[in-house]
Amino acid sequence: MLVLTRKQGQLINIGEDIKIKIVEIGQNFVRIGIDAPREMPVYREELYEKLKQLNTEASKLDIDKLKDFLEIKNK
Amino acid sequence: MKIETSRFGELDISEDKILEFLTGIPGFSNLKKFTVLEYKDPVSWLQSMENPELAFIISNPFNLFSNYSIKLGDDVLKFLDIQDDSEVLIFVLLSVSDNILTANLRAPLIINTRTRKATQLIVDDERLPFKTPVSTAVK
Repeated sequence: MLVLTRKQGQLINIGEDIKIKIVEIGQNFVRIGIDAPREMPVYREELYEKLKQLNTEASKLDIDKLKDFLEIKNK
Repeated sequence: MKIETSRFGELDISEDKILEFLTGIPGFSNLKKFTVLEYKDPVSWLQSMENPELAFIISNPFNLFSNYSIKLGDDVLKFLDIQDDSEVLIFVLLSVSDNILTANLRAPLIINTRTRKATQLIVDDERLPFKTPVSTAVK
């Protein structure tokens, strides 16, 4: 992994289209601003990983589990 | 276009029913093309055009939760080329955990029905849970 040292307010460019700005440095956090094309979704890693896991779970849903729910809804 | 599916056998899907998830669906991001198959109210299937076995059970969140609302940012409108509210169709994925049917209200599927471009968002609203119970216990 490439590791760069930056000061508050400084930027990093990734290619032409992606800019990463160190917005604020606190005691145990940094605030980062990201400009990226919309086709590159930017999410906090834990949220994205959670969504991947939930989507995988959802893909395994057996329609039989919804039998009662659908019966009630279609009464 | 004819596709093979594990649940519904061979289907003939017309071009105008094929959705393109521009960045895929997280967890399956290599797959871009899906189609919505009507099922029993209030659920439909989101069937992958590229993987016969991959299909999600989806539902209209506004029917399930009358107070559901999300705001689409300008970047999303631009990304999907949405020009008017009437073009937008929104679904959420259903799941079952601990025998409770839940909907993922935090990460809705946003579809532009005119251009058939689609994406799954993570809504920037921490009050929306990833798992919202839809009904009482299911089998």
